[in-house]
This record gives sequence, C-alpha cells and structure tokens, in this order.
Amino acid sequence: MQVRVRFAEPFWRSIGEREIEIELDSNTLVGDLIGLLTQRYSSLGQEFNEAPPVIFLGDEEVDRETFLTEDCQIHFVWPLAGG
Amino acid sequence: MEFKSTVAIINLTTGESQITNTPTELLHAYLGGRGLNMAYLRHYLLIAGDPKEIDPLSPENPLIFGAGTLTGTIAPNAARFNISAKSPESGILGDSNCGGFFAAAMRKAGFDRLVILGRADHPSYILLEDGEIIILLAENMWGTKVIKAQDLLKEKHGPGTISAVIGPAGENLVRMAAVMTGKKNAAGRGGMGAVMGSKNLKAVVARGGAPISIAQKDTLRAVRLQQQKYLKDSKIVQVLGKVGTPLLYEVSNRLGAIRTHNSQKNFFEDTLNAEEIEHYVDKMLACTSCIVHCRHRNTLGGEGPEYSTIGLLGANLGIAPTDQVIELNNQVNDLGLDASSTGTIIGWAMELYQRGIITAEDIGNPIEWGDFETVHELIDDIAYRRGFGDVLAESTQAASQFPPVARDYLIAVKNLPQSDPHDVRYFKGFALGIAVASRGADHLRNRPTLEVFKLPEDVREKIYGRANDPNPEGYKDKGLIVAWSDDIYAVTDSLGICKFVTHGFNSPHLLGYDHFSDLISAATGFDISPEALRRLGARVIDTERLINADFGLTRTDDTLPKRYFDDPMPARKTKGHKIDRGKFQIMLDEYYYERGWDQDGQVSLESSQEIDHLISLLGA
Ligand code: SF4
Repeated sequence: MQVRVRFAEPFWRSIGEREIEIELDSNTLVGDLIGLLTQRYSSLGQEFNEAPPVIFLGDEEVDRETFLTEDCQIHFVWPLAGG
Repeated sequence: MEFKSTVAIINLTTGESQITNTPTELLHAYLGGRGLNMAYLRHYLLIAGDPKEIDPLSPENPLIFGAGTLTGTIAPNAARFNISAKSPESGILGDSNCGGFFAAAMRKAGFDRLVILGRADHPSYILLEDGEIIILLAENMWGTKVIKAQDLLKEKHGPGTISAVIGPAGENLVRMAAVMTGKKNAAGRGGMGAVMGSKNLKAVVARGGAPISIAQKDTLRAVRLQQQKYLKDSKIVQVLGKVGTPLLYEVSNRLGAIRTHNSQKNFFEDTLNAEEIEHYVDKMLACTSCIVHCRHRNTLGGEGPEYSTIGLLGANLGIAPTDQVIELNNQVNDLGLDASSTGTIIGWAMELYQRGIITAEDIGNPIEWGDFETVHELIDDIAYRRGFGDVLAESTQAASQFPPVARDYLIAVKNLPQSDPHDVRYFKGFALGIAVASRGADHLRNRPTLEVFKLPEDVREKIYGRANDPNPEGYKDKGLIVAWSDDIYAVTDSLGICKFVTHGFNSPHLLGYDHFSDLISAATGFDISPEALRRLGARVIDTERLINADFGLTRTDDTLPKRYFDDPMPARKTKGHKIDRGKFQIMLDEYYYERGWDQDGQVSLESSQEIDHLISLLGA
C-alpha cells in the first residue's frame, strides 16, 4: 500500500525532503515504518532520539502500535508550544 | 568593582533630569530589568496619587525603561530591556520586554534605567550620550513611520545611534501601540507606545560609547564560552537558528490548537508553515550577544514574521497567502502597532460582524474572513484613528462602544488581548498561565511549555521540585508548574536574557538559575545563589500582584475568555476540549497556594511588608 509521510522541522533535514511516498505491506505498524525510515536515513534515528516526535495519522495522534492504512498520511511533528 | 545601577529621572514637563544610583539593598533584591522596573513603577504610581485614578495617557503616568543586569555584556542572549507604565490598553500593570540593540546602547551611554515623567510641550526625543541627557525637538519626525524615524535619527546623530521610537500608532494614542527598537523588535504589549505618544515623546536615542563595567572579565568570558557550547548542543537552539519561531505553527496547527477565526476554529492552512515562510527569508539576524539568531529579515522589506504574527494576522483573520501575512507583519511593525493585539482585535471585530452584532453600516465596510485588502486598510485606519479604525484603536476598551454581548467574543484577559496564537483550551496549564499572568493574557510571563513533551516522572520531579501529574489535558498540579515558570521568567526578564535560552521555555536543556548565578557573579561581582534567585523571581511576581491590587484587581480577574469555558474546540486531536469552570477554580486555589497567596489571591503580609520596605528605599 502507498503511504505519504510528512516530516516537520527538524526531521525533514535528515531526509532532504519534507514529504515522501513510500510503498509498504499491508498490516504495517507505525513502529515498523519508523524502523524502516531510520534504517534508510541514518541520522533520522538520532533526531528521533533527541527530539521524540508526536505522530499523527491524518488528524489523529497515534502511537507505534497503530496500523497504517492505504493512502494514509503520517506526520512526524516535534512537539513545541513556546511562542 | 561595586555593583551599581544608574537611573535617570527625566521630567519632560520641566526639562530637568536627575541622575542617581539605585539604592544597593533594592538593587540586590530586584537586580534590574523587569524586576527593578516594578519597584520603581509602584513607587512612582503611588507618588502620583491613587493608581486606580491615574489616566494612563496623562503626564502623571510614569514611563520606565530598564535594562537587564546582564544586558549588553557578553552573557548569552543578554539583549533585553523592559518598558513599564500603567497600561492604556488594560488599565493595569503595563510591562513589555524587548530585544534588539537599544538596551545595550542605553547602558553604554551610561544609563541602566530611565524614569520618564510629565509631558513635553512639543514633540520631542531624548538623546542619551556619554552619561548626558539632552531633550531635543522631534518636530521634523513627528508623523513618520518607524523605519523612517529610525533612519532620520541615525542620519542626524551618526552611525552607532540606536533608537526606541514610536510610529503613527503611538503618536495617535492607539491603545495597542508599541515601542520599536528596530524594524521588528518591539516592546509591543500593553500600549507602551501610546504612553510615549501621550508624553509627546517620539524616541529615546542612545549613543553608546563607554564599555559596560565587568567585575571579572576573564571569568565572564569563560562562563560565556561554556554556556554557549551547552546551548549550541540544544536541539531547539539549532532549529530556532534555522527557521525561527514560525516552526511552532505547524506543530500547533497539526494538534488543532491554532486560534483561527477568533477561536471559532482551531486549525488553518499549511501555507503558513515555516517552510513557506522560508521562501521569503533573506537572512537570519540576531540581537545583542545572541547565539541563536532567530529573527528573519524578509524579502518584502521588513523583519519577521514570528509565529505570533503568522497566527494572529494569518489564521486568526483567515488570511492564508504567505506573502500577504508577511506584508501585514511589516505594516504593523512600521506603524508601531502590537501585532498580537492588532490581530486579536481585528479578529474579534470580524466575528462581531459575522454575527451581525455590528453591521457594515456601523463600520463603513464589511470585514470578511480572509479579506486582505480590507484588513490592510483597517490596520492603517487603526494607526491613524480613521473611521472604524478609530474605534478599534481603543483595543479591548472598544467593547464599551459595542452591544454588551460583544464581550463574550473577546479573546482577552484583564483587558489585554491574548498574545500568542495558541488556543489554550487543551493544555490546562497554558490556560491557567494566561489567566494569572500579571499583565493580562500573555504566554511570555509563565507558559509551562514543557507540558508538551510528556517528560518522564523523574525528570518532571527534578525540574519542578516535587512529583507532579504529567497529563497536560488534566487540571492537577498546574498551579505548581505555572508558579515555577512565573519565577524563572521573571528572573530572565530581570537579567535581560532572552527566553529562547531560558530553562523551561521549549526545552529543559537551557540556562537555569545556576547558570544565571555564575553570570551575575562574573559580570557584577555580586554573589547570589540559585535559590536566592528563585526567591527574587517570586518577589517580582509579588510586587506585580501588589501593583495590580493597587489598581483594584482581585481573584475574579484571574479568569479566561468566555469562549474558553463554554465552547469546545471543534476539530483534530484537541476536539471537545474546553475549560471546566469548577476545575479552573481548583487550579487557581492550587496556584495561589504555590505562590504563598491567600485564597483571594492576595500577597502574604510578610512579603508585602518586605516589598514596602524595599520600595521605601527610593524615598518620598
Ligand atoms: S533568540 Fe531571537 S529574540 Fe532572542 S536574543 Fe536571539 S535573535 Fe533576539
């Protein structure tokens, strides 16, 4: 299945793109996707450690145990709320 | 080296000035910046009469400029100063913090603090140079916008001239007028620009010559280098230096916490994400001694925008095109308007129009969401007090000219429009923060930003001093974390250090009391422990509470906009959240307890007596 993945600041800098499309098996969990991404983009794992992201599936906040769905959009966002 | 602080008392009515030193005991108790300003403000308000009765736009209102203790030194991000007075916007404590280069120049010109009294006969400006104060006529620059006024002053007094100026908004006594120290650096909150305008004071100009005395130069240098390294390792410092505060927009928007259409909605377009703003960024700039560089120079002729401007002149007004929002940002800055109040007040008027509470007939033109042209025109009209703009120039006080129901849609606390674009109905600690902030609805007084990280329990306990509930949606322990934030932000504002390097503001890996203690000792020779610094922060908060009590404020003023209690957030993760009135009161009780105040929110007798004693050192 096709999944769109969007990276907010600062994560996209490890990828070089703000958004990518990725082909995954059905029954893929968010955690599997993270594993795949951190393997493919070596500095992303470190970024995720330093600044743990909040993960949104569409408009819903989800965790690593959530299943991805066909054509869904995943957002990795660094939680901040200063001003 | 003796730790001293020079204060100039300038009477614009008589043209006389007096230069003196702050009494040592008072200096040690408040240090500088916001803290010491509060002591002077209370003193001069009480001298002028009953603070409740003082017209903020009259010569009786004292206007105080105070640089932080470390401002202008090589301490990290030590750029800032505070301007304080009775606010013409809220009618209570007015206090605004500002960066840029002005405050360092003011100190280098020989002054740590100015107390400006009275009113000049003619449009004037104050020149500070080599320890001297000269009051000059400003007639050729009265009427000019901010950038032009700054250029004229630079032309007249030469390179190295830095000025704090008002634009047309301040001259026209617009209640949300800012004082500007650069193209964007603003002492924006509370209408300090209108107070300057009421004094016929176009600018305060500083030409810094003398270096600031430092007690132990080598030690300060070593501490700076050590802290610089620590800060540069911090993720937030790295990211702010790349994209500035617009980075916050996407986060809040994704969560569903962006004030949109006057908080009727809670998310907006992606066109205001940092990556879109970046297309218009020419360069990142910094304030004095800053190691972050969070400020943009934009390609449309100004600086910024910040997250607050994007949210409040963009999403809040329904304006999505990136270039239009940047243009509005540049416009409000050049007119000398506070972007936060301007965006909030126009958004409020738009909703009143949408609901038919005001009509096109009342206001001259329909004001529809997203109508850039009308908003652009209205902003000019506010600054020049034309037509309906004249009504909105009254800021929250315009409510008296609308039907009573209009107040229900006003996003303000204590008559100050909310400063930032974050809809606080989800994070309950944020809501408590703006409810109790001493100048009204403002995130920079006490926002417990660490709430969003869901930090592990042991880390939270270490930061806040005892175990506390990590659930940001809950109401428990929010008094603790808001009181903790109050104190540390009051200290940074007293030192002149920027919040973007302050422990607890977006990160736990920034400068805290122990770092500040090292900096103060090296810079001034005055030793103050981290514990005593926190007590100093609490003293500042208590002084502000006493000032507001002098203005007649009570527990009932520590509240929130009606919408935050009554209307659930409509979408995204935050959907359904609003503030429960009963639980809010319990949060307030807990906050007062943490502050050592009674259940009416009154400062303890012991603290009040200590503050009275300290302020009495200023004499009669
Ligand atoms: S971080 Fe930004 S606001 Fe703070 S001192 Fe640096 S440039 Fe100025």
